[in-house]
Amino acid sequence: MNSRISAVIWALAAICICFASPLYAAKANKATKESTENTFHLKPGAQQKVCLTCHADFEEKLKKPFVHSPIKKTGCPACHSPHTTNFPKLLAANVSTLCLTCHKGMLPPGASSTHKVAAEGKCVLCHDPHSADNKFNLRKSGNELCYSCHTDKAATIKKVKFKHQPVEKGCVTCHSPHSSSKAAHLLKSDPPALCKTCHQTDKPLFIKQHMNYPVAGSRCTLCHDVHGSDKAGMIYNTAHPPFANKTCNLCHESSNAPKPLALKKIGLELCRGCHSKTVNEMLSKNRLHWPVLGKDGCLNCHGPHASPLKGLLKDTPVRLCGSCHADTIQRQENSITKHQPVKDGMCTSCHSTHASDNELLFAQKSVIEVCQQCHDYSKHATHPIGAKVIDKRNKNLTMQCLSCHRAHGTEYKHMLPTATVSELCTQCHVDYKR
Amino acid sequence: MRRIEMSRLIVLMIILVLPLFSFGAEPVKMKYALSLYADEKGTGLNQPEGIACKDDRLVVADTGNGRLILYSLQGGEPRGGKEIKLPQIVYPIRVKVNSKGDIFVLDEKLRKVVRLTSEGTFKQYLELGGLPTESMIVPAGIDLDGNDNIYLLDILLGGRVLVLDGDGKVQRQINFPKEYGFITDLAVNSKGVVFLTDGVKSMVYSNAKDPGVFTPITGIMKEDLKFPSNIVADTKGMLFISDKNSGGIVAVGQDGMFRNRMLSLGWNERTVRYPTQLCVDKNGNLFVADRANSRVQEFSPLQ
Repeated sequence: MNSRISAVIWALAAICICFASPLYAAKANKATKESTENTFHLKPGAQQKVCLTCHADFEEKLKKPFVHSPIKKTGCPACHSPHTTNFPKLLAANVSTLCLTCHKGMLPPGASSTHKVAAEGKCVLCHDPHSADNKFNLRKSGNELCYSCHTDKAATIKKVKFKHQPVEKGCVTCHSPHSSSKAAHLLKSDPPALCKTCHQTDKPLFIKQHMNYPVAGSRCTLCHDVHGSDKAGMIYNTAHPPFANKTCNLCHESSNAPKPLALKKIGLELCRGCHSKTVNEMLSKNRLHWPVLGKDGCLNCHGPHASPLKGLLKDTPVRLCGSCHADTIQRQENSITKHQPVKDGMCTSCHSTHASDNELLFAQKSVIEVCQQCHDYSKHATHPIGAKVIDKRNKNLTMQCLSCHRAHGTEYKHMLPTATVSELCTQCHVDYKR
Repeated sequence: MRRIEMSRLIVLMIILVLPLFSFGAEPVKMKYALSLYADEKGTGLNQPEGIACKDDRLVVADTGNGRLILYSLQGGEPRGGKEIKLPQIVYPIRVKVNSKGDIFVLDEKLRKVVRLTSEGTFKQYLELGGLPTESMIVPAGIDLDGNDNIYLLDILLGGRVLVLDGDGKVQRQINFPKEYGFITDLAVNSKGVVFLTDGVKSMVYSNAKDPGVFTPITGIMKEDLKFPSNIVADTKGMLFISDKNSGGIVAVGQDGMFRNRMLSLGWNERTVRYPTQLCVDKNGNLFVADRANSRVQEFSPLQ
């Protein structure tokens, strides 16, 4: 009997918990909502004025054409508590969540891309929470607002010879400022759909400019720099000569073939036709970077048409190499001591990315030679290194820079593999081990 | 009333004992046995990448020296160390031995599979017959099943595993799984099930469910396996995988269950640097080609 009663009590407790949690949540919501009403029982008319008695500078500020609507409606207590809070500036909630209590739809779940500042709740970087001269309380008007962070892009856009009209009109022509449910890079939709809102791909001129190839379904941004370029047609500044010379049929079937965009050869063999010297040199090496021999061959890393980067690279080296070697890139990011070439994404400073006769695809035979390109060993230490100095830990190894350092970094200082120097040294000098 | 109490007790026991069965897979543990540094004449190994065990034999691909070394295994301990240096082998990276003792060597520079007799005499370059689609292949991995069928990892043409008979005639092909990152190696178990390692995604695939299709048997294992480069299947349902970049060996059941991460990066014995091919002998001893440390290490199973 007792057990039956206890079972009933437990069941009731579970039901209470289930029902109580939504009630608590509702109460929390109500509390937030109340902050937009006269929660503090201020005297009629006092809501907008009482704060200004001390914060007089705001009186002028609130004369700007665009005032945040809660201030107009409720005054400062809409967002600030007049007495005490747990948050800076007497805000009623954490700044990363406060705005979202009213602006709920800004960051829909499952968005394809999100503006980092918005995701981090740094709304005030773009919007003035009190008042502004610009619509939506934006701190600056038009592209100038975006350019205040995206300085590199701004500099490029301003200096390019051939400008893209929608960019001039405003970044928000193509990008959504908060998030995009449809595409990466905050684009309102993916290319070519986005581009087709202005460019008609069935027009004779468009077809002629694209050498009669059916490119309407291709991603325009593979060849065109939509932010402007110094090349006509806004082609990326580095263009593959067959592409720039409009000799598409060097690589593709002819435009009237059943599959005009099909490649004439696969993988490395396609590029070998023109780049035979490079390819033959590559194939004469002991070690090959395996992707070179894969289905896509050179196109794993290089764009076939045009690129903003030297060598027609598909992306910056750190991102490109990191797309496969994420663990190596991560290691550098976690490292206390940063190795400059790795930090700068200059993987090719030490590695031959195509092929090499040396371990780890090093550009030089000796690791010491690789490091000596930047480091003057004579100024570094007096520890003997070189082909004649045997590593005491292993008779098949000789002492070199990687005997004590890991070039992509470690969790310890100076890219050492151990927490303390003595721990490292006593691996060989065991007599000194304590 | 007593009946009800009893049934409650049984339910309680089941609840308490069930987790023990769910998480009861014992971690695989190995202990260090020995290291091999040289051939019988005392010439040191130089960046060995390949290793194969079969019956009482151990074959090492001494990559940096462009040669093979044949050892005999006596009670799990390598003896001898005969050098096989042939003009037909330039840069051996992987080795396998079939039931007749024939040695198959994958040469990275030649991008060919070389077939040798059990004594190490050159027999032939493996010629593929009856290829289903294109004649070009780029072999990047090799394994053999219990019937001496040859499994080649071909990274060209979108990637596939070619299954050949003992003479090199293509029997069938299995395409790489959808949305793979980069397939680094393959292994075949005694039942002919093929396993693939994905270096970029840190995953293992197999064709256990459907012989013609690869599906993942693990999730993304980035935490325990940074860059899987080589894989071997033993006869006891285990897979051993080299974690090349971060120095370690990971044991995964052939059902995909994680069983342990062993070893760490270093120079001293019991540690590894850029480990590559692995093999397991008939006693369950694991041999590791410890490439950057220019040695082979042996580990025995801890019961």
